[in-house]
Amino acid sequence: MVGQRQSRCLLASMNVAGAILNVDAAVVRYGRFTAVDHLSLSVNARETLGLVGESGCGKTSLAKALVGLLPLASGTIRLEGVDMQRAHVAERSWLPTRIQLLFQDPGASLSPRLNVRRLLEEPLRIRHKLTPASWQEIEKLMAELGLATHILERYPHQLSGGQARRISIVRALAMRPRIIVADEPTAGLDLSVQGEMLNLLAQLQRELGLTYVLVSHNLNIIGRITNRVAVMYLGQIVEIGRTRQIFDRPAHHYTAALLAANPTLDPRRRQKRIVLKGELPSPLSPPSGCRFHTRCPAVQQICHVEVPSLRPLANGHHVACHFPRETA
Amino acid sequence: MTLSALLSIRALDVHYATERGPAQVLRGVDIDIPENSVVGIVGESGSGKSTLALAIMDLLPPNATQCAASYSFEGEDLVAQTLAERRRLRGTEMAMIFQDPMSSLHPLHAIGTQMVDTQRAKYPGVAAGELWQRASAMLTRVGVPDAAARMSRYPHEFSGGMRQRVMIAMALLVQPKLLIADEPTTALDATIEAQIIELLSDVRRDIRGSVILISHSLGLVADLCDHVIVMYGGKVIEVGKVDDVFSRPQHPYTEALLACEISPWQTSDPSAPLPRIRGSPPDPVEPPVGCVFAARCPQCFDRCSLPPETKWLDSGRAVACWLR
Repeated sequence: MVGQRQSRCLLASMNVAGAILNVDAAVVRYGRFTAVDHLSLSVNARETLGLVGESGCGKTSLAKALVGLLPLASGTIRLEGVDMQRAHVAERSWLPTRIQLLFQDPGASLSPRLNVRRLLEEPLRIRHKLTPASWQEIEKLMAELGLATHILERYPHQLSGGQARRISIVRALAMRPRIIVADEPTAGLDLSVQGEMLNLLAQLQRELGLTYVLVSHNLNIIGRITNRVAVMYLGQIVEIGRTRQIFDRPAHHYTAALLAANPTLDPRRRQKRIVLKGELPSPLSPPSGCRFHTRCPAVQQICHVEVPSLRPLANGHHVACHFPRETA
Repeated sequence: MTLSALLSIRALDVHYATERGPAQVLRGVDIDIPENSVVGIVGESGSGKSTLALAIMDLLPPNATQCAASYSFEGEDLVAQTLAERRRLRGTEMAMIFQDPMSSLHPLHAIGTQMVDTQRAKYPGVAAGELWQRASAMLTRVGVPDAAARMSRYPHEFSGGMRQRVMIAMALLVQPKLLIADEPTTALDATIEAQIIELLSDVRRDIRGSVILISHSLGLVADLCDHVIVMYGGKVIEVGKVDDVFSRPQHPYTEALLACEISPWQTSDPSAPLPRIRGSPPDPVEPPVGCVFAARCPQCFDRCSLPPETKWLDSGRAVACWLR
């Protein structure tokens, strides 16, 4: 009953806001280091949004901030219209029933001292939601993910990588969230089994109406399964838009280089490698003006001094570049 | 193929002692590395590709046992030699680049000192000053900026991409006849990976021998290699020229693996199911008697319960499958 009422409220709020999750000028800091710098983003219900970028670009920090694991230094994150930073304690405890994070390393994110049974019921028990009915639901989820109930008595070190990953998915889904933030969901999986994991995530999305924020550096996966993609560089979004549009005609020179750097089996695409000069600048002291100007093949004088804002192109495609590539 | 082979190994077995019994990581592996070629070895985790590299280099850990029917390098039979005799080739005629350059560089010695030391076995009579100069020039060659000054720096003062450049420079300094690169770009970011791939394809000309590139990335192997060896469950299941194998795979595993490589440009429907291979790789402690891929193979039939012979096709192509 409660679930139904909440889903009606959810639909109502979606109709008003359009987006299920709104990030506005979010800043995440670790001491002096700004990992996410005035980043704005919205996520639509039932879509899959990809977040791509190299290590240190802030994608994992953003993912953690989205689920409330990292505080914002400034800015807001609104989940179904509720400002999570200003929400009082009662509302904050509602957060995990709306948005859940799948950690990059499922083995390390499960406590080694608890068996699978305790691991699965702990999040529910903490929120006083553990009922006999919840176990029925957990067992149904486990069956759906191909997990036998005999592993309930096992400890994390007795699980295979694939099992640990599935357990962490069951654990997240048991809270009946609407949004799943998945940090590198196929990291460490072999090519022959990553498709199975992604098919499973897609199936759950269809059945449960989930919204995904998918963090990955694997461009093949991002390009294949997301609806929209946001490209991050040194804590900021440099380009965002529909995945097909960005993969076919990237507007930002960084996106173009990133896509061209991706080794591919397609001989037609293999010739066009763009090799960027230099390395990722230290995020501790990002370059002035456009942060990409130190490595950009199309750099001009203005790029050294003036910060480009995220400007709209056609069809919700946005780019932060003074001299974007031709996209028409 | 065998006549001009730089390295030729027949019936290589490697097993590791484990609590559950011996894990047979390589079973009857035959490989030929032709002169002046770049050979990719692809396979998933547990296929034995890294163990094969370590076995070639005599770098297997103490719990491993290796035996081969024959192992010849430049026509010289190494099986008959002692370990000490074989090891003199290491670091002189054979060199290796590892996945993680940080754990292969000594943290307490300056880069320059380490680069001089690696050359001593190969050039015993040469003065240290000259070796230092050669090292410095090689660092410049592989794209380390301000190389002369950075020679006295320590590994932790280099970025991941720069450390991998140092490793490549060290390997090139001894001018090995065989260079083995084990996942040389896996630990690097995409744009840095592109730089290292560019460097590797560039320095190919400087290497007067052959290169073995071990990778799980089919795209990388397609980019850099002439030949490819496909491994699965501790066996070589298919070999041939990269273009032949990747465009017309003969083994059902190679075919299925190539299908699993997602191309973002392939389809516009994000909800279409992705290809995958059902099941999991064989357990090396209890490997299957017959074909290693039989349990997951969509085309498995009764003969697959016996191990398939390796069939040689034209132009250096071989496949281990009952269907061919």
